[in-house]
Amino acid sequence: MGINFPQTLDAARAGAEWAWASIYRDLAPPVLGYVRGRGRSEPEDVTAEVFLQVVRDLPNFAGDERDFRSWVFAIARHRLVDDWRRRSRRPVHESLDAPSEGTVAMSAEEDALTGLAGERVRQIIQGLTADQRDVLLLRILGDLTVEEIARVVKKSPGAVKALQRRGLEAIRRTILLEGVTL
Amino acid sequence: MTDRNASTGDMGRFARKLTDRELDQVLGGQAPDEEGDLQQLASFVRDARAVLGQAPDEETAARHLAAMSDMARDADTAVIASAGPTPWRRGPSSQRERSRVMSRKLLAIVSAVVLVGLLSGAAYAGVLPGPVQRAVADVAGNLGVALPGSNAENDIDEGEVNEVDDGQAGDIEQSQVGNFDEGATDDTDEGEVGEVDEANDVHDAEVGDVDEGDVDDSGEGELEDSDDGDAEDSDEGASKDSDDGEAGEDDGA
Repeated sequence: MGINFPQTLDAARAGAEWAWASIYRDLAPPVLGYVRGRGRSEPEDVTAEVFLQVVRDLPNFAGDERDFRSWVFAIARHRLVDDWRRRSRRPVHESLDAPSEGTVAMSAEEDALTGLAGERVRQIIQGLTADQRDVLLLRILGDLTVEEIARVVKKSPGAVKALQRRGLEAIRRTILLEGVTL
Repeated sequence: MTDRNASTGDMGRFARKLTDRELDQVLGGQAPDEEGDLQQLASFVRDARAVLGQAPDEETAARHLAAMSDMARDADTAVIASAGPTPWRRGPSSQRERSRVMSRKLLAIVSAVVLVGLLSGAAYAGVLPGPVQRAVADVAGNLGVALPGSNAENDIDEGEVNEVDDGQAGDIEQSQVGNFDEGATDDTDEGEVGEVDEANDVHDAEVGDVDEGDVDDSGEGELEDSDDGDAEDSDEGASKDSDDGEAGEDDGA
């Protein structure tokens, strides 16, 4: 969106479909990736809920494009928490093969598309703690700064820095061990 | 595989911590230097971004956008409904609305006036069809306007005749006949019937007495004489007393 962001946001507020399409094309891939990385079995549905809430709550938003991006990921994180709580209250309906919190779920189609690279990424991210994964996904996919992530996850910037450092160190060791084992 | 699974021997290779600059570069998908492990780490970040950050397929995107558009429309409708029309919207639309309503009212009034005028003119000329002419003449007659219409005169004649006939015949019949029937006739009937019954009782008793005593001895002649005489005496005496008494009660009532 860039320099056109204010106009796009105003048009979206006025209900212009082109504006919503622009916002969706810009933010849907990283949001969907964040939801995928958090291990949801139906990430598209959660993504749809995220953008519907964006539409619903847009009148309450104020800020620039960076703020808007952080705001959208904050909504995505809240939706994931709600989805996780909802699934926890209905454990009977969960499939035994359904991924739990802390795993990275991808459909067979997605696996086929991504191939071995996708499987490797999935396994490595699955090895992280939930907080490390949360922070690194927001950093890598959401392209958020430490301060922005801190606002989203409601932690201090120092805590976020520590989490991302530990997460990267863990990935680094895993990759190195892959080389050793291979 | 996690950091917890790493052997202590491998840990020595990670002794050097990443600097903040290296960390930012790796997270940006760039290798800070020639170090192999950091290049692999940057490569992983690029792979993660490419694999996880795939855009939704066209069908899914179209479905999501359609749902967003629907919700945006609903939200607009809800806002408009809750807040009412905005000022810029209220002015022109309400003026158009008012002028449209006024035009309709004016048209209705003009139509009604023209219709009444046409009817009045035609009625005054007496060219309306019979029933319509009579109806209009009746209405105008109530308002004190005389319009040509044969029914008006007929109505007057019929009214006078009917009123006279109805008044005289009805009053006489109802007052005389009604009073007579309700008071005198009914009372008289009831009284006479009652007395007749009583007289019959007396007659039966006296006849019985006579029969018991005189039939075998006196024969038919005596029986007829005794019967007639007793019966008449009994009837007259009983009926007169009873009539007077009951008539007096009725009058008093």
